[in-house]
Amino acid sequence: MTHPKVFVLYAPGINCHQETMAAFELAGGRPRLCHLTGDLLQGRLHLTDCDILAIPGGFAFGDHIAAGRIAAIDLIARLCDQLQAVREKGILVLGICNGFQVLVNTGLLPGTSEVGEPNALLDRNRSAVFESRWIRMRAEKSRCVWTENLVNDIFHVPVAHGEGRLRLPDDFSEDQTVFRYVGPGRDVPYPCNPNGSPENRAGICDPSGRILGLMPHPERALYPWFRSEDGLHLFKAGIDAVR
Amino acid sequence: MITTRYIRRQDDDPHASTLLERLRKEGFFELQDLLIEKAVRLEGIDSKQADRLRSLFCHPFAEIMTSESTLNASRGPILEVGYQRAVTDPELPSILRASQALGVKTLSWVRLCNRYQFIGASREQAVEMVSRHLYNPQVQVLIEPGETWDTLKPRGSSAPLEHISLLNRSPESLLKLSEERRLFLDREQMTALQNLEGRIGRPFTDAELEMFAQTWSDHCFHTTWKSLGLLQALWEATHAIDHPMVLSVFEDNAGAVDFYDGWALTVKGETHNSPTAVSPYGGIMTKHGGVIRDTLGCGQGAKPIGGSTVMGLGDPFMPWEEVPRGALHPRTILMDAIRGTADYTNPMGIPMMFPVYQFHSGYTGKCFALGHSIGLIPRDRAQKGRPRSGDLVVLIGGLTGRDGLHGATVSSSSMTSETAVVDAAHVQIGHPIEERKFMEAIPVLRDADCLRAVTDLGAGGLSSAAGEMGAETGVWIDLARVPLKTEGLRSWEIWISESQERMLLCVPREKWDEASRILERFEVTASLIGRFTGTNRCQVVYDDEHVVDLPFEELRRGCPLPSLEPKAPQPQKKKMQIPDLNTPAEWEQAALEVIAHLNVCDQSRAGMQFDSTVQGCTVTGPYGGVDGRMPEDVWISTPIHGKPYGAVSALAFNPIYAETDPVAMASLMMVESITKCVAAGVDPKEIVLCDNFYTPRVNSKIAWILKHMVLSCCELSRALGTPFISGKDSSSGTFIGENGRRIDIPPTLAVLSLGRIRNVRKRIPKPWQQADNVLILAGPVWSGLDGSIYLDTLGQRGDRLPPADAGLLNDFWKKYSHLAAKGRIRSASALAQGGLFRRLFEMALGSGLGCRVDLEFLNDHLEADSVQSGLFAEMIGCVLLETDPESAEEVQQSLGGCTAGRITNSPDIELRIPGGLASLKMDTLIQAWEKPFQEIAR
Repeated sequence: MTHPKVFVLYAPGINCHQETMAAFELAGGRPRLCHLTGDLLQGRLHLTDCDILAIPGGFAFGDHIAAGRIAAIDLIARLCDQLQAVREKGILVLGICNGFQVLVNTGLLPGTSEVGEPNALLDRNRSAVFESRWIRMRAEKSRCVWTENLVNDIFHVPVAHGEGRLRLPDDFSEDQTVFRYVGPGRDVPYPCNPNGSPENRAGICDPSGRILGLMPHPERALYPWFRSEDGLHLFKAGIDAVR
Repeated sequence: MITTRYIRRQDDDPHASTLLERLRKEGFFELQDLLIEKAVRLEGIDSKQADRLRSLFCHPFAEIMTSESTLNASRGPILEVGYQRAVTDPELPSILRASQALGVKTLSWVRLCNRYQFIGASREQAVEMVSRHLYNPQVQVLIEPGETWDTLKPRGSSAPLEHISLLNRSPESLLKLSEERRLFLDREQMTALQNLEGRIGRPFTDAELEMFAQTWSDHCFHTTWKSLGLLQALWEATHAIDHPMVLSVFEDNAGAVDFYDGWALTVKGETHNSPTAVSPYGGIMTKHGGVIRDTLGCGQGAKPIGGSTVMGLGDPFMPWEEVPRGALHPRTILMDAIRGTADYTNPMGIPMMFPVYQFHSGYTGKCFALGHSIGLIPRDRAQKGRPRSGDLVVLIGGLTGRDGLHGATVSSSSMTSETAVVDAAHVQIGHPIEERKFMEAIPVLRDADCLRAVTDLGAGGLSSAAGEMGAETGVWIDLARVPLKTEGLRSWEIWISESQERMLLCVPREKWDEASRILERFEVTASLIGRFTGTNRCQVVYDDEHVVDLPFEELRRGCPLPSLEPKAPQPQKKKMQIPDLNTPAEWEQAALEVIAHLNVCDQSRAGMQFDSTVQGCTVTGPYGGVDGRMPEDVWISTPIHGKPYGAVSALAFNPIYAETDPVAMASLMMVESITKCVAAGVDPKEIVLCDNFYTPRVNSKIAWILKHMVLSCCELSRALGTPFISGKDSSSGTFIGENGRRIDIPPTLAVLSLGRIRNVRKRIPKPWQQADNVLILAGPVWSGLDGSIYLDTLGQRGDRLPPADAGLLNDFWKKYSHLAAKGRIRSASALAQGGLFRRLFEMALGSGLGCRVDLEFLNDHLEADSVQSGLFAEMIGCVLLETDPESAEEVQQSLGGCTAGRITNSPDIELRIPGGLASLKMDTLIQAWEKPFQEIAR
């Protein structure tokens, strides 16, 4: 498998699909857009027809009621079997920002509950406003397949979200924490931690380590002429993991 | 059947606590706590079905849903706020979709309301808090306790088509008719219509009169500008320059210039001042939505790649009792505008280039609300095709409602203390999700050759869009095919409705099947509503009834222009008394006041609420430097993935200069905007401009000022060889308060420059690069303090701004570019408001370094008459640049600049002042700089 097949989910309101496609392409994958309504709900494509499933950032269905909620209800109510198959078959999944919010709302992350029974929440930022800024995060030693070879690397990437404060169930296992925001010293004050997430968590994976969700946007840091090209490493690592 | 459910947060609620903090800051000290509950009214389902929607409305561990309110009424007054009956909740389609997915099929309408409980406050105080901060009577209502609803759906009463004859009416009676119907047509225009009726030999329909009113409004027809010959002057200047990069100017929704590899960039700026003044949240959303659609409707459909929000506002610290009746508090406008921009541009996924807020007391009655949109389009699609007879007219996007009726005519009129009541209908709430859907579909339609032409629906709605598109051929439309959100709309209301998030497509008949497949795939609602004809007439029916039947010739060319006689205003001497600065402490105080000035200070508390990195193409802006807080002067994007081709843009807007000398200001805004791009490394020959003029209602004095502002721009544009390719004018910047008190805005011009750079790795950064490097001030220096931020902090203005010398500027830019290309310039920033000191501070902030500057030497070089000149004179056109010590002589010789100082490792700004040394600590400066917006934009 030289060019793994990547599905990049599209639903109305998702708005980071093009750069997410560009990131996977640059990393050596073969991405295609997969429309929630036109492809999945109409049975033209199946969520497990790919090596990697990416749910990009944006405002799926306007993020109405709560971020990621409407898209998650569509997935749970109409495609529950496929979500379970994704989990069982160990398809690599990446949810970025709104995609992370969707994964949490479906129960795929942190993944210790049944599909369709969310047990975590990406809550409104502590500042109560949308935060668009560059942050630094560190890849932790974790179960995550995506970051196996990136542990302790620092990623300088943007965040842009209003609801990113990750609240987890009490029995959350710390080896599912994949990324943490870092600060200049030991402390990670606002805005280094832009949303007030407890333990400075920026991204987590499911118990299998194959489903990853994170609030920051690695697909916005791809080229050497940007403030950083750190983001590309994550996409390359994902592609390498399924090769 | 209507069922109600209540949603409450279970634990902490950041929204409620932020609001509590804000209200207490506003002086409501009695308020001990604030609770928020959502009320959801659901039509068409019973209690059992409502409970099946629990997973839609609440998160299992953060929220609860109940059938009775959980607020304890005895703890404090409760007020409930929702949208008016005529307004649809933006969430409605999403809720209906999710409800279908959850198997609740009969849900037909939903209304969401916020219930606020004010603990510790009296009912009167609660009402005051709600009406000042949480509720806009233009679009919302206070829901009375126990209010019963028979339906949640918007309703309207229909009325038959009216026929109105203007014959045999006196001029007074014509004017009265214009007023009664809110047509805003003047005596000459009404008389022209009277004559036209004689020629066509039948009375007008109501729709025809409405169509004339919007087509001939100043907003759409530019009557003021045309009568002064200004559009023609700009057009002629641009054509005379004949710039090789320019592909399309003025005619289209946006201007277009060549980029690289077969791509073109488009640019447009659009204001939305009147609705923003009365309903800032909805108004600002409509502003963004509109200018984005200008990009989508440019050529055969461009992709928006960058946007701005640029505002002029009154004093945000103004006492509440001084706010004129009929106007909103400037802080209310600011807060709602920030929220509106965030709620529209973030979901659109278009990066923010410039979030700019400027303050001036002239904007107290009517604010300035400008937005830009930059687009990307294949070069060979940058021109519109001409509709052909038989092509289809397709309406896409949101439903049509009674929104925004009379938007075009109201935006052209003065606002009065009564506007807020009479023309409530011209305000609406944006639904970015609708626009986002077709933003995705339009480039796909374009590339599949499905679009002969495309245009947006904005002011004047269908009437304006179909009119623009069909004027060359003729068009036939059946209004019965337009999907509506409200029953009972009259035919003229459908015809001129300004419901947002709609576009009009011209689709070749044989492409319709493919086009409708693409639109369906992107979940865009599309309706085939008519066809282009070969009649040269505008023909509109509702089923079988004729609503409009007019030759386009009369609509386009029949409008009489007002006769304006420009008269030069008396020059007003505004004396200055510049105080001496003696001690280092006095210098520090002066510097702190300059960087803490509202127009110069840190605005990132607002700006960082807008996504600036979406699309993954942002190289620079709006904030940068080591800790990401330094305001950048330019925005740079590489919109073609994988290529280092940079689109570069900069903005200039200065309301204080407008008061000093508006005509000189106009030229300086061009110079500032271009110099910012040049300083960043753009070849001055590869820059074009976009203008947005905003002036008070014209009288002979304003007409003179406006005319000379535009003519001076045309003259400088020709002399520099830098063309205007797009722009917009508005002449409605006047507020009439109670007792006829008139508040005029300062004559306003914002100039956006757009350029390109082949390899962004060669751009010149703003933050300093290395200690011991030399700082050089180069360009057309000027020592006058008139119009400066420094003078404003002293409550003074001055009356003399420097002239813009095209020869000097061209020579300087050329030499600068040459040095930049040779790698001699390590960092640079063009001077603007706040002068040299602001740049020293920002470049230090962006680098973590400091500097030592010899002010005495600088003042000598400037031949300054006051000691403050070197630091605070706003030498527009000058650049502060950094160069290696070895290159300093070469740079200085070439540019003729002056050595201002050196970069140091210690992060302070050290100034050699007459008779001593002032050392300014960065921490102190930063604190002063960030404070104003921390206080107001929270």
